[in-house]
Amino acid sequence: MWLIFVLFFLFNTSPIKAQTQSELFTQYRKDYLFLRDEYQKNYLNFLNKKNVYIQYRSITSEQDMIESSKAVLFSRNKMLKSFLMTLRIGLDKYKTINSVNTEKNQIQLSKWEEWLDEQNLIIPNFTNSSDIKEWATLFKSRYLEIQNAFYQALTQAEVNLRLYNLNEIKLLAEEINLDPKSNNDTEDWFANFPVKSDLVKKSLEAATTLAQKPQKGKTFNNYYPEVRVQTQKADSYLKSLLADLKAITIKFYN
Amino acid sequence: MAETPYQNIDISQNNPLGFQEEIPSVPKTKSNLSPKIIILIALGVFILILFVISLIVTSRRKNENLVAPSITPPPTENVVPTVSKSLLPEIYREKFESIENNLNQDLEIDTPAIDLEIGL
Repeated sequence: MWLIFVLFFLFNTSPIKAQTQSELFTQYRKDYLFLRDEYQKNYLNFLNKKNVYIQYRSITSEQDMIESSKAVLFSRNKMLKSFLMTLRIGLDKYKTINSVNTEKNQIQLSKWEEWLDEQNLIIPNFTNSSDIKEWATLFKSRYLEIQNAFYQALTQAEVNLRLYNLNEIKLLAEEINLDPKSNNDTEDWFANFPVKSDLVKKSLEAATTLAQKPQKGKTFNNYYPEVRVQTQKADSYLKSLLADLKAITIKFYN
Repeated sequence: MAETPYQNIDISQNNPLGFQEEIPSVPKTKSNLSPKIIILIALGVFILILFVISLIVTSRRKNENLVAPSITPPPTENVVPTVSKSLLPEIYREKFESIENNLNQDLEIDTPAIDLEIGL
């Protein structure tokens, strides 16, 4: 029987390997989606308890509402922290293309992750509605900064990806140019490259500028849709560069 | 003359006199195995079944990992006209494909939607 046990464990062991960046990102993303579901459940429960309290105004229903508020705020912080972590890990993928700015964004995200962790040490100690109200007011003002940090990080991720792609296209063009069959057919493409490359970079700079604009007022001014317009512009230039290069390559090989 | 009741001596069940023949019970053969050994055998069989199941599950998982599920793109997705891949020289085909895939690889993560009025 011991032999069977030994065989069982021998067949089931798999070698431990380090997770790649994309595996890690997928895992963190999964965790975030799970915590988002948890928050939504707690939120529905909170709404239910709040309605009961509004209807009866009893001490028990008030206590229930306080407990459900604490639960939903706790799970909200956990979800937000998980989102920031996922984003921070996601930034690692093309970090080398712009390491200084990417690092700045990652530091900002880490700072807010820590802050959210600290808040979850405070929340369980709330005993009445005024404690919760005071904290919720503080959170609301801080959330403007959190939103700004994660939209800046999302913008950085988009910029990094496009700069990486631009560099990859250039490297591929250089490789094709060295091909003996090319007969300098790529010269036109290289002559045109700085113009299109500049257009890509200008769009990405515009996206970065939008994200760096300081926020004024008490509500968050969401610049991200405008950032998307700029990154999509950059995408169209990149696609055009790649399509031209592909056409040249096909021409000299056929 | 007194009437003698009919008795079928061949079939004991039909005996009108109510006598029933006692069928001698066959003595059960007692197994020589002690209860401890039976428990051990049962456990051994159980573990063997678990072992076989685990092997099947592991092999199935391995097979699943080999075939990567791919999402079928909607027909409207391919807006940009593309040059036929077959015309591309093989040495560059993979590199072109890799860049093309990268062009559409933004971080797939939804921003959280939260209610800031909780507790206020």
